[in-house]
Amino acid sequence: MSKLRFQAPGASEPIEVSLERADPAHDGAMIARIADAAISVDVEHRGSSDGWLKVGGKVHRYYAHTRDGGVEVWLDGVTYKLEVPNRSRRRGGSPASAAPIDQIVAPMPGTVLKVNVAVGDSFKPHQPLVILESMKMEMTLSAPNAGTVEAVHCKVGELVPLGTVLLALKAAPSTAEENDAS
Amino acid sequence: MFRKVLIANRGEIAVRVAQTLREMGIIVVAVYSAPDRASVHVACADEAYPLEGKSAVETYLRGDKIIEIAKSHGVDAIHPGYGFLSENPEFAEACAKAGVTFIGPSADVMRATGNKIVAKTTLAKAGVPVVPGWSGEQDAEPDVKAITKEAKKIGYPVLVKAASGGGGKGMRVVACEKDLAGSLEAARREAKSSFGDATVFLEKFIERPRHIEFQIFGDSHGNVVHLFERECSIQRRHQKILEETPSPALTPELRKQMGDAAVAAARAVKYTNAGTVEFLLDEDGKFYFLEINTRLQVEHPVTEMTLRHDLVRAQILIALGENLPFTQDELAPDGHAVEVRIYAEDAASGFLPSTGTIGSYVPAAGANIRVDSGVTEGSEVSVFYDPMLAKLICFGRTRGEALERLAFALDSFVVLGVTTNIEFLRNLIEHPDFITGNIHTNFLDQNRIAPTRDRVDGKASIPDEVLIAAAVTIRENGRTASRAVGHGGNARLKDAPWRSGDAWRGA
Repeated sequence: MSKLRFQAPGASEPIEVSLERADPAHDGAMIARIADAAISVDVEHRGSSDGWLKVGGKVHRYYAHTRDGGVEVWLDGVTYKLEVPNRSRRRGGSPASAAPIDQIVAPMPGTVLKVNVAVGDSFKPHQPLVILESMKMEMTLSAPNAGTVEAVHCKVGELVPLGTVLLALKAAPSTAEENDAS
Repeated sequence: MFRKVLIANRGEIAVRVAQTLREMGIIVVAVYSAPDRASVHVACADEAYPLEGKSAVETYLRGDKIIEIAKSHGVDAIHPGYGFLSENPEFAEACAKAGVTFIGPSADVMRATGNKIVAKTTLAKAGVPVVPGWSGEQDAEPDVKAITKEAKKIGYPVLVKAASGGGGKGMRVVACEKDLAGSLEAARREAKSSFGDATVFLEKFIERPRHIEFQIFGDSHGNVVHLFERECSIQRRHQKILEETPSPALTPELRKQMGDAAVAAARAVKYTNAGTVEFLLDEDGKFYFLEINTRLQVEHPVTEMTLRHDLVRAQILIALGENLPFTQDELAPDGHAVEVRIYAEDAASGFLPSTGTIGSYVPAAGANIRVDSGVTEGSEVSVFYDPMLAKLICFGRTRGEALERLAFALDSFVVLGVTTNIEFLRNLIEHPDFITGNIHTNFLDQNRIAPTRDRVDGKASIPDEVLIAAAVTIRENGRTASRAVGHGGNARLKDAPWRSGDAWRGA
């Protein structure tokens, strides 16, 4: 059986898991190989989204839901989110968060309540740039660093989907150092 | 008896009201917005009619359209639920004019209580203790200088509140004089956009208060009773998260005093139907009137569980002109009930609302566990409405037993597809100060509650069983998921600066 790879949020390396039938007479009897360990497990699945596992006599109820290249697993009251990494995805390199942010993206779908800046305006770190409203809450999107506004892609009253680029920014050259010092 | 009742609401409260209507043999009429076409509250109805549009303003707030539907389909009465049109006196009047009974207090009662400044003045005259504060004339541009003087008189910290507000919207705590002008502007802007009325007032900010409210009921014959208290001190930014009854803070003497004050408040405004008198209780055991809510509250089930009365049934009987179905002496609460609100929100990233399609939905079940749900498997959680998915209510002989049951119920409640606060709630009820009942409305600001169960010790780890379950599922799904999908927008979002902080500003 082919190997599956899962990535926990924030983990550096994916984990490989493979399942083999342990007993031709029992559909659910399996050996799971995870890293160097071989685990004997009985799986009873009901449909494709839930069931229970027995490992060494211990019973675990689970539900699972696949979405967006990931799988969410509920096991014994705790929900875990795993990504199924895309093989072609960039690996290694410096984390993007070290570089200045060059755009303001809607972290939620919502309505644009206020745009505090126009093209060409300069701003300081933490200066409120855009106010969004979603589900009865106001959210202030503040400047990640100092810079100037390159483009405004939204207007007041507009309903914006998740991930919409609201502003394009140009970071001021000295920003990274200032942030490190503060 | 009403033959047919329209529920002008959505989600769990529409489902809950429909249950009582059906029990009473009344035909249930639902209305729904475009995103709610396939929602649970529609499936619970005998008849359902669309409200064109998506946002609340285009749909559930369109009293004119709703009354039109009621008139053309032979509806006798409208139950407004909570939120939306439930505390709108113009809507109540428009119902009456159209010959449809509004199941709730009269428009006069709503007017007397809806403006918090007027309510406070009325109740102070009736001898109900109120929080010291100021409410003066305000023109289009408030006189910041004068208000600054008043704030100094009251003493900082002060609270700026919207006169027509509720649910924490348009409310600001001001710690010192230099913040006052900015907070005034923000509160007025929010009040204007939310309630169409920019009027605000000042109140002394009471530190570490408990939020204790009394359920009240009045009928059209002048009878008024209280149905004891609910403690709702566990709030995040003025939104209640956990409610219980009885309050661990009340002695029998204090309960009697506050209950009497609640009834006095209700009488002072000639209250009819269901309502709630909210109080703040300070650390010295002094209580102050906060506001009267003229609706059935979200948290009404805890009262139903300890009194074994159906409050929606009582509302309907009163709307029919009957006497209250209980007298004060008959009302004797028993045991303890706790409710938690299950929200589609991500406690791990600043409680951002979480939208999407619900994949798995298995509400907790068992003896003395009640779940009021507005969703099911396949439901869309959209940005258009409140992110509350369900309420989980547990009953026990004692508070300890009720909390043990609640822990069990949270541990067995499955919601996948959207992120919920279930694990946050589970961690909350394990907090030692919560367990001893040592709580106040700033509890969640002052105590860090871990957002998830797997990170209690600060780091995440994935049990082998989870990996096995994931592998089995993907195999069962024909391994399609393993080949799928880059992350486009999400990958960017992960790097965004507000991910790390609490970017949602309380309203």
